[in-house]
Amino acid sequence: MKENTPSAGPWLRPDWRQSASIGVLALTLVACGGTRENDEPVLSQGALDLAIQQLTDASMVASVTQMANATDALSTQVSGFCNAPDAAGLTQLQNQWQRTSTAWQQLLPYNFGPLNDNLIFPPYQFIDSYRPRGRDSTATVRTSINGWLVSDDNLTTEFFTGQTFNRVGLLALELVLFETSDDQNTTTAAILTEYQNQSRKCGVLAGLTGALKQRTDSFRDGWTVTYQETGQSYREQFLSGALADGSTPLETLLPSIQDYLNYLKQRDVVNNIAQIAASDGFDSWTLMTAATDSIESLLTGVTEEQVSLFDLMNAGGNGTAVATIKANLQQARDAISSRDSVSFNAAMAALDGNFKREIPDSLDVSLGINFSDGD
Amino acid sequence: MTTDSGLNRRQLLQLGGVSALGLAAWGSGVVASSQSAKRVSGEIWFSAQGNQDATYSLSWLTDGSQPATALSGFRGHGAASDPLNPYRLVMFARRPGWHGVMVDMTTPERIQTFDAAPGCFMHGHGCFSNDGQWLFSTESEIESGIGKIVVRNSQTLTVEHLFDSAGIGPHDLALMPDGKHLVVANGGLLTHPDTGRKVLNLDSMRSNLSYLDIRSGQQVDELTLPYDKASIRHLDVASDGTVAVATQLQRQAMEHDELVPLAAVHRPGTRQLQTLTSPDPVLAQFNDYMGSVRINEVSGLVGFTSPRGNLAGFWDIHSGELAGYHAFFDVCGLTVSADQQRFVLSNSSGEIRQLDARTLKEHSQLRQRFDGLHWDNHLFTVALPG
Repeated sequence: MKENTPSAGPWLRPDWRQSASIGVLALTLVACGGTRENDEPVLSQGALDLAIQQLTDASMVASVTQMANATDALSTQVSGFCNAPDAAGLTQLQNQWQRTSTAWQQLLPYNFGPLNDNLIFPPYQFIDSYRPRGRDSTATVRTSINGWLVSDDNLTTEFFTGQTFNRVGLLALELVLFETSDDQNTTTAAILTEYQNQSRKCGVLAGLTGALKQRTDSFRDGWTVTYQETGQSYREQFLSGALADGSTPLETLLPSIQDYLNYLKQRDVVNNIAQIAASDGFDSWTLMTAATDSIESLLTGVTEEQVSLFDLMNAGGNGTAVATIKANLQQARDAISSRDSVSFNAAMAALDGNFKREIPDSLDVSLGINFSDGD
Repeated sequence: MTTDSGLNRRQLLQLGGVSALGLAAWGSGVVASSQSAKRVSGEIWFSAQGNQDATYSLSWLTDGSQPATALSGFRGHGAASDPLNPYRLVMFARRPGWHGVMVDMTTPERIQTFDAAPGCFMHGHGCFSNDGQWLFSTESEIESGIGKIVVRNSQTLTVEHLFDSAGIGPHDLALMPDGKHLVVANGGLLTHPDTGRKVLNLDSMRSNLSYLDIRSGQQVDELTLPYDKASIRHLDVASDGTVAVATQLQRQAMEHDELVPLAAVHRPGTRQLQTLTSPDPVLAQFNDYMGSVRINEVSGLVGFTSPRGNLAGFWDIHSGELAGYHAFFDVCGLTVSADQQRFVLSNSSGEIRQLDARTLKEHSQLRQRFDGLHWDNHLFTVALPG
């Protein structure tokens, strides 16, 4: 990239705003002559860079790895189950689907980079067909599954990676694992009988799982190994400010979380996903808990050693904003406890506002004057 | 004094509504940058710029690389160059705006300011007549909300005439190739300076694309979109009279969440706006918002930007088909190079990117970033002698 440095003009004075490489207030927690856990926060640019690096690893990379690992486990269990379908194996698979869905909901706030790098066919939608427009594809998937069971199609992974997004992914796996295909019977015995009597159903299960694994492997490899054949991981590109669209880490991260929170509220997600898989120990509220955990850990950090965004906001004198956000997180927790979707959606809307205003303002991040205030 | 369109000062005066106000003020207390009294030549890209009171300005890149600026004291929006003296640039305040500035790029330390017409506020866009004698701007009567086209003497910047824009909330406008008509994007959004940018008529809003006779002020044609909450806000005109429009959807006033086309084209002699369609994921990425539009006549592509989607999209203006897109953080400024070989994009991080006008591939070696500069919504091109 060609760099041009204007020679003069009052807009060029190298004040703190302009010197911040990621366009944010210089903030850092640095050690003041001792071990850091007992130190008071001091503001500097280095700590914000450090905080972003740490949250990238602790939240984003961890989430994408967790999702890939969960899918790996699902894939392994599918192989075992299909060799000899039994009730224990089916229950194990159902539990693993729940873990995989939970992992997905923890990853979904970070819907950029390898998850969302194709404008026409965004990869994430092949895992979660509800996410793009909040459209329930259950009927489409059921029709497709019944068609695959009686067709001559070779039910390979490649076959399923070639399907449209609203026929595959976690919803399709939910339907093949939690109900019978012919009459939507949800008892374990009925589902197991169908697997035992219909060999092609395991073909559908294995193919759908293989397609899911291909996607989640791609996400993990893109984030941690090499991205789009550049030889550099997305993590490295993200942290070094080398993203193709020219955005900085927080300019990418904060709007992504805004979008996710808005999605939860606008699409009334808690009342629309994981409906078939709901059981005594798992339902859509489990997934909302995972989502809330993901958002909260991004702000608070995962470990004591991590420099968190809340730390930096407090250090910048924005404790009131931190308190406001914590109150909204608590409202979400309370709503989850009471299974109150209206209150939960309201909490998500409030948090969306926090990610639009309090957090960027406290960190002095501009998300773009055109983005936020166009005409 | 007669314009290309046959409109002279006397005729304008005879149209009535002449105001003695709109006072011009040379060098009125706003200090320009150090890029003063310089030889300026070649291709210039100019834009409203800045992100705070102290830096709001009209800025331009000389020879596509060296930035210069004239501080305005207010956030600008649209701008234009004088066709007779292309060194003269004018910039209008963002709505609700009260001022404009005229700058001669050879003496940028001297700026000429002017006010909104009496009883009016500005919407942020304007254009010159073909002969450079008259300056048209979109404004609204504060109390009635009626959209107005304000006509100023481009030399003295005094208001000479006003006529109705044929709609509410006129935003962008352009002179048609015949030099006798204006095309105006009446966004349909009623606002009042007392309530800032709050839209007061979401339920009843009605946007239109109006063609106005600049002599009489009469509306000669009007087109609307089939989506009543689509606010037609920006436009560009090709030399054959084809007009491309960019809309901004007022989603909060809609009772459904279906995607709605945001771009359209009006071809001369036709009676409807042809919407430009695209796959749902592309349309969704625009986030109900298109901020700028520019036609490239050499490639036959028309570009649209969306800072809310970090995306520029390009359509074939003849077939109406999507031709390509480019992801770019907070992109809004969009123009074409003087030789029409490139689309030029700008964003609020001070970046400039150039795309091949035919292939839409970026000339990445031409990327520029001006730390500390913040290009606002619109980018324009003027070719200077030399």
